[in-house]
Order: sequence, then structure tokens, then C-alpha cells
Amino acid sequence: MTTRAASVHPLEYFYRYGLYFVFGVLVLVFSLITSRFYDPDNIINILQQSAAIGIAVVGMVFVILAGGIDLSAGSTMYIAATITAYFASRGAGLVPALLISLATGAMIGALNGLVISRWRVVPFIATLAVQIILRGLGSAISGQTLIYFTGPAQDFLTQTAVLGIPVITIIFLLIVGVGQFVLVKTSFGRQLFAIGNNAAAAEKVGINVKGKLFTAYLIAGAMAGLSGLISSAQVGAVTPDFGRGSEFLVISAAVLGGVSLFGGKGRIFPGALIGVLIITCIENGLVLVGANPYSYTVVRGLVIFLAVMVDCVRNKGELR
Amino acid sequence: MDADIVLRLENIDKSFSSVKVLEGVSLSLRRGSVLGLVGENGAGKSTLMNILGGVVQKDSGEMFYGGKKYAPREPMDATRAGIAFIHQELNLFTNLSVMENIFIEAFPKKSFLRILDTSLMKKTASRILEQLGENISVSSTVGDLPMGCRQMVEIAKALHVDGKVIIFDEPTTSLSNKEKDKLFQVIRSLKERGVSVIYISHIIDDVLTLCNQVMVLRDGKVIGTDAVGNLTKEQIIHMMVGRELTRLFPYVEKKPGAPFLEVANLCRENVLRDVSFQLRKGEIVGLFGLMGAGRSELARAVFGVDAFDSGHVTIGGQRVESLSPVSSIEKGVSFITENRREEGLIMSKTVRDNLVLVYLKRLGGKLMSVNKAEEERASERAITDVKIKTYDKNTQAVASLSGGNQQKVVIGKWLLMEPQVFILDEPTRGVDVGAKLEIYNYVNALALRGSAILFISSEMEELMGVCDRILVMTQGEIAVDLPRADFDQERLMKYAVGGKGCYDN
Amino acid sequence: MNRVLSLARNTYRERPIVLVLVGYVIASLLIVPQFASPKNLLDILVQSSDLIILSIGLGFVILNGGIDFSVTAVTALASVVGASIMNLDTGFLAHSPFGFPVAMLVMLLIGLAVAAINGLSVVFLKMPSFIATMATSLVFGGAAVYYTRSATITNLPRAFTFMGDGTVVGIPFPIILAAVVVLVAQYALSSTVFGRNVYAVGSNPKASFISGVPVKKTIFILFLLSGFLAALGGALMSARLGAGTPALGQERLMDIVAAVIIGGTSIFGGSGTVLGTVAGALFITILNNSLNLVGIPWYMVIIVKGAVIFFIALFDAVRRLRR
Repeated sequence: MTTRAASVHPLEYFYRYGLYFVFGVLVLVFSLITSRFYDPDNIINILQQSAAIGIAVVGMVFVILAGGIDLSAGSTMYIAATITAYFASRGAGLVPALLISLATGAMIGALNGLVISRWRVVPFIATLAVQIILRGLGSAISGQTLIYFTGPAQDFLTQTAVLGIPVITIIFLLIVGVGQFVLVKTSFGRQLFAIGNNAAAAEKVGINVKGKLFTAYLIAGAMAGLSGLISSAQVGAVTPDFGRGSEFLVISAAVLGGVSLFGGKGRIFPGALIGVLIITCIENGLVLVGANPYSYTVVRGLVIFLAVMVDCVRNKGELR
Repeated sequence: MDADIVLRLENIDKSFSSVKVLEGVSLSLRRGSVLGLVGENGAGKSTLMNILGGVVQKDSGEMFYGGKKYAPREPMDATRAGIAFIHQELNLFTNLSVMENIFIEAFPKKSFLRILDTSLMKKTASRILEQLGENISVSSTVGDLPMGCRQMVEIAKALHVDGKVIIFDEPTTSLSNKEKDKLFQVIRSLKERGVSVIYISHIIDDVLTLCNQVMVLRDGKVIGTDAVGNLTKEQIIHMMVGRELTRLFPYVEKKPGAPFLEVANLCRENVLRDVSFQLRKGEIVGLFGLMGAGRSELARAVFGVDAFDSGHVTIGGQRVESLSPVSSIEKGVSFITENRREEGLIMSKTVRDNLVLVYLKRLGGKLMSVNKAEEERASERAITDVKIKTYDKNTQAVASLSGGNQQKVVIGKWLLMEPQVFILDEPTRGVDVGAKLEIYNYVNALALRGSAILFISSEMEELMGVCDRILVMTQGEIAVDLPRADFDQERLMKYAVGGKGCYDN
Repeated sequence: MNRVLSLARNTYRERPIVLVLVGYVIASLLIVPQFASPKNLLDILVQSSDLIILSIGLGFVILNGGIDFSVTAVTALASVVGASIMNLDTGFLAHSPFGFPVAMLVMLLIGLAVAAINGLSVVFLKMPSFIATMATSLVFGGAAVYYTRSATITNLPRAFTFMGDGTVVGIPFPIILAAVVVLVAQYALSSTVFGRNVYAVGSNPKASFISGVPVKKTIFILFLLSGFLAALGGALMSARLGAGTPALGQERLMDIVAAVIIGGTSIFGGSGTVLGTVAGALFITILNNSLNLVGIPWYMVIIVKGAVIFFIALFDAVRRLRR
């Protein structure tokens, strides 16, 4: 079987493998600076810290692959966390907590999906508006105070470990695995790629574009909800500022991991996973090194900027 | 009824807002045969295919497919019936593999989890490609494949859904010669398997080599259908253009001056092949060619809208270094694009705003402020000069104007610049007869005043009527530069269709 | 009566916001008596002046179909850097007569610098504006926090704070500043070649390009304007506050976007006016003001604003679908 392929630009190799290279360098540098970095405990620590953002990233990847974006993830996390914390602290177990957070997120995702696929509202404005509304709604529900996340669900999530691996990390890795599987091995996943690559052709070929888009946003919302649950359980509380700006971290992790903002390109595993790990490592490393906490946002911003810049240079986009 | 006839169209009529595009068109396609469909731009080929494909609805006439009545209401109906289209713009997803593209609409799934049955996909896809005689790995990404292979994937898609009729629309424009030969081989094997093919192309040599029958359309009517053995290239060309030239065009005698715009060795991969020509002051030069010849691409390259690989443009004796619309306009060049809705006008803006768009620079006084009085005068001038019908130029959006008036706004906009070189790409398309005449008159007036005009059109008649000489372009090159004395329909078409034997006259 | 009705109908079609604004004002007057006091009305105008300035700046970018999320980061950064120069205790130019003017200059330069980065990213790197400006927002907003270790710098020279609470010929300075910006912006958009270019590029960049409009330059300048006005607005806000703080304006981003969109500027670009944006800014300020008076909690206000943006965007999108 022979393939006559077009010649590959040398820069492509940088784009394709640059991610791993960066990750490797990062790990190396931090390991050299402090031996505590590659401590097995620290590795588990990094995975734990990545879990919340990572789960949201899995959902976000579905949307970005299809050519959309979800700016409401942070507020979705907030609302889901608030509602779930309320019930969890009153004794709700693990399963109800999971269901509540997933359902809340899914409903918000459905709203986004409806508005974007049915009425063609530009994704970034629609999800931006939803983000604003939800932030207000969440504050209204929480009465602007701190809500404690206690109870059996929280105990289970934070204290249980299977074979030495904490439950949260397991959930995280499970979702990454399932997400990647769906993307590669199901009709839904492949069609999302198609839509992101050439929406017009997708319509012509008979793909139910509206339906797939809707589902993608639904999934993104549900994952954001779950992410809210995990994150607030880890902290033990939901602050009024919970999740503010998180969508941006989530998007950057995805773009860093090779998921192109222009749609149709990217993987959850290993791509987006590495993206999340890089972001967490940077934070983790900065803390260990004792860097000025005020520099975190700056570094984050720079990382995002670079990631998107590379994405744009690689996949030339429109002028706006 | 002949059981061998897989597709039959009877007396198809179609009009688009009182313009008759198809009249009494009938065709019949036998199983396992290749029908070549030939005609100039605008002859009605695309409309006919769109009706067949369910993209537009016919006004009257009947269609029969496999002996039964066939009336698709949307493209999916045609696909389901087994009629597949291979357009120039392939409906492929470059980020997916070959087999995924083939199965994209209906993936085979296995087990209750509905996972993709990749091994089945691989087997089926490979089988189809083998039948086509192709060596492509079904797991390779479509984006990595050259055009020829991508076309094969489209054909595979058609075969996969058990296509009985495959329609090719100008398939060889982006193919190399080797790929073209491969394509023909594949089409022949399709024939043997009982698949019928409609092959639309203006490369008559190809049509004669490949097809069993040829049908010639002209101005929406079938001029002739015959077996390939009974027709010569000259006869086909004659049928394509042999109309009585009844329309009168206002031609004016002029003495062309010195060359003002010179294009030398313009090249762009796959699009322009070493194009060189000159435009002289006071001369109207026509640029004729069929679909895909590269005329618009040439114009856009010369004006600076699209880049090119090598060659240069000289305006007024000065070679232009970095070509862009801004620099071209400064040098006195104006350009009317082919698609006024997307690139010629800002549909949501008013008549006045559109008219002064290019002229704006001259309206700027100190602080870049717009001289409103001058703006008013200029826009009024444009409206009277070009006779635009608008109820209020300051509030009416161009979107609500008629096609002819819209085109007039585009022309008026550029006329305000009093261009020394005026490039017009299909300026009379979609314009009523009265307005067409007016456009010819402006062009003449401009030429008399000393401007150099490049008039790009698919309408041979108007070019022959108005121009001093005609350049014929085919497949990215200029085939001939005919002076007015040598204007002849069949000759022009012969050069336009290209191929062997066209350079010996 | 007929003329009033037809005027109303025309306004409804072109600028529904004006009707909404008028209606809201009338309703407020009836429901909340304190609303109509001259002091309160003047207050509203003063309060809305920085929003007006910032909204006009953002409006320029949105007119082009883009967005600029970094405006609030610019206000924050400009305010802290400027304050650190002017500050009467530890500022770089503490008691020098150059303190105020240099600080002002630096603030404006910061606005231009950030804007230049945004502009270059969008025009040359072809980054989508929402991500590029979000990234710069993080970087420079974070820089502002970093610069002051999250502290507030007070004790600023009188020359500066005069901008915030002084009056000139009886008119509060903020109103004068806002009025100047409005006039200049209105002039620029409606009566200059540049203004026409902006509308053209926002509506159809391809056609504008072919017609010789300098598209890249126009877009870049729009970002510069947004950054400049963001810095100017930030200076005004600092002056009124009497301090430079990295938290300046962070919550106002939504207000600014809302003001622009409510004021009739379409996010798709190509349509919108300065006066519309002013009306939008006034509306938002009045909304905040009146809801405050009535005692509605801030998060309800947020919900309302978000909902308004949402429905306007939906309305706009549906209208486009019909076309």
C-alpha cells in the first residue's frame, strides 16, 4: 500500500512534537531546580491539581473541535458547585452529588447549544452572556457568602484512594480516556471533526450539524459542572469568586495541547492532557520555587498568548 | 421503454426571474455509457445539473430514473437515489482519513456501544479503491493527498453508496496529465461495471477521447446530441457558438496609443502559466476564456488582490514593486470584480457610501475630514453619469437595488476615479439589455478619452462587438491575441477549448 | 401627534435603545422620587463619564467586528503605574511639577502600548481578537497586581484629583472630558475618511480591501484608539477615586460591553454610532443607579445586564438569519 503524500513542511514537526518537547523541558528544568519536583507524592499532587481543570478541558475540546467555543465554563462550574455543595453538605452521597453537578452543567450546556446551533448566535457572545448571567445567578443563590462543601460525598472524594491513587485522579483519568475514545471511535466524534474542518461540506454530506453541535455543548456543560464539583470538594468550600476566569485556563490548556481554535484538529490524549499538565506544572513549579504569587496571572497570560500565537501561525485564520 | 436507459430528462424548462435558462432540454443516458456535456459558460450546464441534483427545482418537464419518475426536492434525495456529483470543490474533510470520508454519513458500528467498526471500514474502503485501481492507503489523511487522489476518494464515496450515475463537473482543471490519464482509466472501468457518467468539460479533446455521446448546449437549448464517432471537433465548436450575431454593438474606431500597462511572465502555480500581455492607451482589449481558464485570477493578480509567484507588472513605464489594490489605484488602475455582492459592494451600506468608497481619499481635506459638499457633488455626478435609479442615494442600501443598478453603482464608483486602466470582470453579467448597452457606451467613452480597458467576459458576442482585440485564455495561458479583423466565433472557441491542433492557424 | 408617532416609529426601527432609555427614565421618575433630583441627575452624568469614554473606545473595536477584553486591564495598569509616579509620598516624581504631566503621559502610553500588542496580534498574527485581548488582559492585569503587590496607592497630587472632582465654569471636569471625547469621536466617525473606512472594513473587509481601503492600518488604529481611551478613562477613574489600584475597573468590563451592545453597535461589525454608545452608557449607569436606590442586590443587576446582552445578541442573530 503506497501513499503519495504532499511534502511535509519542516516546521510541521515543531508544531506536532513541540508540545512534548516543551513538556519535557519544563519537567527537566523544574526537576533540576528542586528535587521535590519528581517526588511520587508531587506527581500525584500534580495530577490531583490538574483534575478539575482537566475534566473541564475534556468537555471544552468537544466544542472547540467542532469550531465553537464555550466561555461560560467558569460560571457553570460555579453554579454547579454551589448547588451541589448545598445538597452535599446536607448529607447527599457521592452518586447524587455527581448527578446533580452533571445535570446542572448539562442544562447550561443545553442552553448554550440551543442558542448557538438553532439560532446561530456567535458562540463567543452567547457563552459570554451566559457566563455573566450565571455569575449573577450563582451569587443570588449563594447569597454571596462562602458555602461549605462537607458531607459524605466530600469525604469520599477527598479521602478515598484505590491502590494508592486518589479517587479524584481516577475520575480524571477515566474521563480523559472515555473522552478520547468517543472522539476517535464513535461516529459522533468523527463527525465533530468533520464539522470543524468544513461545516458547509458537512451539511451537504448529510451530517446533522445542528444536533451534533448541540450535543457537544451539552457535554462541555456537563463536564464543567463535574469540574466544579471536584474543585469545590477539594477545597471544601465555594467562594463567591469560584471559577472566575477558569474558562480561560481551560481553553488555553486545550490550545496548548494542540487543539486548534479553528476547529477540526486536536486530541484529548495525549494532547490536551499534556496541555493541562503543563499549566499545572508551571503553577506547581512556581510555588515550589517560591515565586511571587502575583506573577502567576502574568505567566499564565504569556503562556496562553504564546500557545494561541503558535496555533494561529500554524493554521492561518481570518483577519478580524 | 428501453430498459438500458438509466436516466431520462424530457423537455426541461427553467427560468430565473424571467430569464429563460433552459428550454426544452431532453437527454437520455444509457447504462454504462459516458455522456459528454459541452457548452460555453452560461449555456445552462450547471443549472441542468443542479436540477438533476435537487439543488433547484425545474419549472416544467419530466425526469425518469431507472424507469421511474424522479423528482428530487433536496440534494439528499439525489444522493439516496444513487446520483453522485463530483464538483470542482470536493466535499471532503481534510482532517479525516480516506475511509472516514467515505463512511462519514453512515459509519458502520458494532457492539452495543456503537463503536466504529474500523476493520469493516478498512476492508470495504480498500475493496472499493482496489476496484478503482487505486493504491491509496485508506488510513491516510485526505489532507496529505494530492488532488488526483482526493478526486478518487470522492469517486469512491459515490461508488460506496451504490451510485449508478456519476456526474463530473470540469474534473481535470486541477489535475496533472498523469492524474488525468488515471481518471480516464477509472472512468472506463466504471463504464464496464455498468455505472453511467455525465462528463462536463470544455476540453473537447478529452470529451472526444472519453465519451460515447456528446450533447452540446447553447443558450439553454440542446443544439445537438450524437455519438462521438459522428462528430468532429470543428463540428462541436460550431454547435457551441454557431449563433446568428443579431445584436448590434456600439463600436467606435480609435487609434490606440502607447502601451500603458504591461504584464510580463506572470506565474502562479497551477493557475497562471507565464502570462504576458500589453494594454495600450485608448484601446479596448477583450479577455475571453471558458470556466477555469484563469482570467479572473489573472486580473486579480495584476491588480494586486492575490499574490503571484513570479513575473512583474509595469504601469505607465514604472515597474510596480509591491502590488496591492492601494498602489494600483494610486497608479490609476480600476478593477471591477466578478462577484459584486461579495467583493464589489458593501451590501448593507447606502448608494452614496458605496459610490464614494474609492474616491474617499480625494475627498479628505485637512484633518482627513470629508468634504461633504464635494462628496455630494461626486455621488450625484456618478448617479447621473451612470444613470443609477435610486430613490434616495443617502438612505437606500444597495442591497435593495436591482442587479443592473447594483452593477452600475460598482461602475460609477470606479468611474469617479477617472481611471487610466480599467479592468472589468464580467461587467454585464446579470444586467438587463438596456443597462448593458449603457455599459458599452461608458467603456467606449473611456477609451476615447485615452484609458486602456481590459474587458473580461464569457460572452463572445459582446467581446467581438466592442473590442479592438481579444486575448483568449485557456488553462492559465494566453493562447492567442486576435486583432479585430480576425474576429471569428469558431476561431475564438477553438483557442478557448485548447488541446492539440489549436495553434496551427 | 402624527409626527411624534412617526418619529417614535422611526426611532424604534433604528435605535430601539433610545426608546427603552426614555421609557426607563420615565418609569424611574414615577417610581423612585429621589431619582429626579437635580443633584442625582448631575451625579449620574458624572458617574457615567468614565463609562462613556471606555465604551466609545471599545465601541471602535466592536465596530470592526472584533472585541477588546483588555480595556479593564489597561485601566488598572495605567492607574497603578501613573499613581506610582505621582504619589506624594514615594512616587518617582513625588513633588516635582512634572509629576502629574509625566504620569498622565505614561498612562496614555501604556494604553497605546498594550493596544499595539493587541493590534499586531490580530492584524499580523491573525489571532482571533477575543483570545488575543483576553491573553493581554491576563498579562497586563496580572502585571498591575504584581507591580503593587495588590496594594492601593493613594495620596495623589491635587492637579490630578482635580480631574475627578473639580469643576470648570461650574461644570464638573469629568463631564467636560467625556463631552470632548464624544465630540471628537463623533467627528472622527462621521466626518473623516478614517471614519468611513472603519464602517466599510467592519461591514465587508474584502470589498473594502479591493476598493483601496487600508484595511490593516484601519484595524490597527482602532485598537490604538481603544487602548488610548481605556487609559484615559482609567486616569479619570483614578482621579475620582483619588488612588491607583490594580482592581480598578475589573468589574466594569461587562458594563462596558453592555453599554456598547445596548447602544446599537452590532457585534458583527459595520453598524453603530457614538451617540448610541453614549445612550447605552447612560442607560447602564442609570440602571445601576436606580437599582441601587431601590435596594436591589448587585447580583440581580448582573443577571439583568447579562440577560440584556444575551437577548440583544439573539435578536441580532435572528434578524441576520432572516435576511
